[in-house]
Amino acid sequence: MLKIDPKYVEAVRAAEDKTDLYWLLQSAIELEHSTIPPYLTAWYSLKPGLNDEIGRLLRSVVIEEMLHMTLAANILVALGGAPSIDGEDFVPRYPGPLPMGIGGDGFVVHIAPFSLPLVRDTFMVIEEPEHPIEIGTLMAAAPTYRTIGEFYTALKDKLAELPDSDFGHVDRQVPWPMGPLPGILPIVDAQSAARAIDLIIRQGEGTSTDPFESPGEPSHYYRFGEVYNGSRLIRTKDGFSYGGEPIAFVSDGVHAMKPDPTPEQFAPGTYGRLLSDNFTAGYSALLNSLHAAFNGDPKQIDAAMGLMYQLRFMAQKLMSTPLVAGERATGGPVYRYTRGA
Amino acid sequence: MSYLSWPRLHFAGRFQADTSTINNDVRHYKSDAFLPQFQAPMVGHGGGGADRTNGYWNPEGTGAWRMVGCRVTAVALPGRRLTADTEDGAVGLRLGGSSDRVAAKLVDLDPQQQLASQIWGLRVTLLDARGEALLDSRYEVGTFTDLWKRQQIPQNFDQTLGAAFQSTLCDLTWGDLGASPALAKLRAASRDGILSIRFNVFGFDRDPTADDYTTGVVIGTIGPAARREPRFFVAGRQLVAATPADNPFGPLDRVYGFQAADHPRRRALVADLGNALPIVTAAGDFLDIGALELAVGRRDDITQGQTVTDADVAILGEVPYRTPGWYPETAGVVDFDYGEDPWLCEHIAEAPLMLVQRHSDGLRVLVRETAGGLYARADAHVFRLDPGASATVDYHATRYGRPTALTLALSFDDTIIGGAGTGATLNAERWPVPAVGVPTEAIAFPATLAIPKSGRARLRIRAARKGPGRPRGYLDGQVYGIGQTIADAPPGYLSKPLDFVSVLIWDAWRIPDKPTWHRDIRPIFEQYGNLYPIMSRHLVDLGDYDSVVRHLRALVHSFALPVADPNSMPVSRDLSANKRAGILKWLTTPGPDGLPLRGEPAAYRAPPPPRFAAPPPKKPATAAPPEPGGKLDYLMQAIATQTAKKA
Repeated sequence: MLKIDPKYVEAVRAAEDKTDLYWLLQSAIELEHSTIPPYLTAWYSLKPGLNDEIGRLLRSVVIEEMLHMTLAANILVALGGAPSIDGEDFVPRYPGPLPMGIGGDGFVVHIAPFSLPLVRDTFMVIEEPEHPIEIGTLMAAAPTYRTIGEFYTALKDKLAELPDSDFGHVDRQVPWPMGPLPGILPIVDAQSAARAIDLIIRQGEGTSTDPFESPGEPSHYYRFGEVYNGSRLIRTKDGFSYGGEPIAFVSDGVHAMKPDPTPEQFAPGTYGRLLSDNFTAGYSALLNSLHAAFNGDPKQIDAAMGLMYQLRFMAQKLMSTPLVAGERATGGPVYRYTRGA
Repeated sequence: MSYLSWPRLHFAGRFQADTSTINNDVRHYKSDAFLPQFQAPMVGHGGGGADRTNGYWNPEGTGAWRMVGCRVTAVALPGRRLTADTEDGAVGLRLGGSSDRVAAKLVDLDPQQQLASQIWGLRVTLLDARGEALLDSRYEVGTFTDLWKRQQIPQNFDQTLGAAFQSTLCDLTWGDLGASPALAKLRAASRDGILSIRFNVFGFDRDPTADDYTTGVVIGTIGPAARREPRFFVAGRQLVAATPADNPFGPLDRVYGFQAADHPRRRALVADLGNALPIVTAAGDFLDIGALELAVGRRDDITQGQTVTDADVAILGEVPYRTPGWYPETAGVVDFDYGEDPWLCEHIAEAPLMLVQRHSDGLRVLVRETAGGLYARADAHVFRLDPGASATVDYHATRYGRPTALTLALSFDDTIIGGAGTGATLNAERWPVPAVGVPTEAIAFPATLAIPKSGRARLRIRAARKGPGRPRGYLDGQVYGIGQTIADAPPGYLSKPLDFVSVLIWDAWRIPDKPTWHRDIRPIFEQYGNLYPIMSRHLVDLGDYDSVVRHLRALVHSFALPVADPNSMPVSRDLSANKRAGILKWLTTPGPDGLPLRGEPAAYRAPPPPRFAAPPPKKPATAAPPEPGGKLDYLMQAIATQTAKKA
């Protein structure tokens, strides 16, 4: 995880009651969401049937980021707040910085097709823990920074100060569609909120002593490390190494998507433009359905799931469509919020 | 009351139909004969130039239907048409779909009945410039009708057929209507909480290299509706075109039939020519066929094709189709005020409407109202039945647009169902095409229906409890057509070729106590996997157990959804209740390893051949080039098969 603007951590510590935490939780929701378009695009850019193992690893990270977003949003709902998802401000501009001043000046995240440098220079930087564990000889130990983990830890401490009666609105919380999370969802008190935050931290950056957040499952940083290093992380007698099963990467198996697509990637009135506008409309519909789900209609999460699947088809169609007939570079997904799709 | 009334809105724009085309050929349903090339796009150009048809023009189609860039073009009030947003805030509103759901789906009833396409899961919304919905509604599932070969000059691989969708909008939610008195009036007029909608489609482009690929033009109307009225057509005046027996899509005098509604108190007739006039190209530019007028015959024995004089008819007025901008602004709906004409006031309710073409030597009748003004139709006319289930069919009968008593004779009618689907003229597939409409014992319906003077009657169709008995072998169930003739219809009575009831009856299928992959599920899933590679390549390979169990949760969710949900699987809506229940049971009953049961590979059975095979089609008389993967080719196949059956 990266440097975070200290004002966020300070604001958490200075919060006096639950309402002071609303905008901070909203920021957390936006941050968790902001990593999804870049990871999703990299996953979508893998051609079907090739690089399946990498695809599975990327997909697993994406799903966990969605879970983190769900957990943060449910904490906000539990405290009586209202997540705001259906607006232009919810989506960062790509290329651009991530919310909460993550990384400080100069750290820019792109919407790009999969590549090993992308994993090393963007994904592993986003997920870098406060104290990365040294793995074999391929990764040098990184200096420590104040991270999003510190923000979440401060949040957990602050939530522990709130009375249990501050936590409620179970009927407005959204279940996690991939399966129940006993003891975590629904958020009913400070303990369940604490467990939710622990899960976010553990899945994202792991702990300072163990890169595996659960048996066989490294946290995000090290999962990307597996992809970058081309083999699975394993325990050795002295520690850990990327010495396990190889993870193949076929560079031909990636769509030649031009990075950072905009709506103008295709001229108006063309089939490519229709595909591009359809994707953006579908993505906006996804945000609308998530907003509705977290604002009083939890069942809408099912519509959101359906939209996720549709987005995948749409992105892959775009990535198969050359920007100029006969040329290699193809279109890609434009993540913007538009109304009246 | 219907959209042929006031106030009404007209809208225009484009639609996208991302039709999936591997399922256009029924022989692709035979899983054990499926070849990878069937998932590849067509080689060579459509419209007669294809070298290898493969999976036709969109093998990775999703089936999605979207309205694209549609806007309200005008508001029609009695005697006035408003076309500026300063005149009424409804003008310029965007007409869109759902803003929080996946796209609607365009679904054929069956590969052997492809002329009954329906849009499922469509929402129709009117949005202002900020994206606020002034109207949000659910489009009731309706079937397109009035297909005819409308476009004169094909370009690329255009669908030269035009068609119309008519239905109702339900579950209306209105927003702030302050800027639109017309919408406020429409809301007040929709006392039953529904609206009437009809939209015409044409110019659909099937060329993957074209900018307009998968899109076409849509122009339509939204108006008031009343519950007692039919939902899918207007119980009004019906003009029906004469067509040759082997080409029901080609009207003999270039224009197609249409419907109209008389408003006697206002002394006005509203006629919908939105799908009646030929167009030159996909852009919808009208073929100039001279001055056209709507008239009422002073006698009933005037026939289509005849030339008469002004003494033989009373003119209602001109159809101003050659005025630039007329079509998007009016959707082809024309108001005719006849209050000034005493003869019309007295006789319009009992004399036939006709569209005439003015020549120097007289008026040529291009299309006219049905003989005696009689018309009868089933409102909803497409049904999917599980064995033992029944459906109620609502028939309406009118005489010059008013309810009337008449008797219908009903019988099996396969005239335009059956055949291979499309591409049979070019494909290499050699295995049998199933016959349709047999066994007749699987479906029961009365031979006659006496409609009383209320003009309404209901009829029950029953599917036999043991189902049709797997007559088609490699695909489920059987399709039947139930045709109608009006008893004692006047001589020369013309009926519309698509006015028949289509029924898909599924095979009986026992839900196993312990469903297993190899024996029970794989035969069902692998067919879907073959036909819809958008799924199997990009999401879940339905032919592969491991892929299926990896996506267990999503499959359970999608298969359990109500069929009206746009996310319902299968998109094709061709799964019987028992098979659906069996699939869900299998998905949700883990074996000792925590996963759905595999069973024994040896238990898998390849599909049987059809019990009744269709004869090979005779070459059709009309020398239209085959349009692989197209409805025109489908129709020609069906007719040629029927012709061969009769020989």
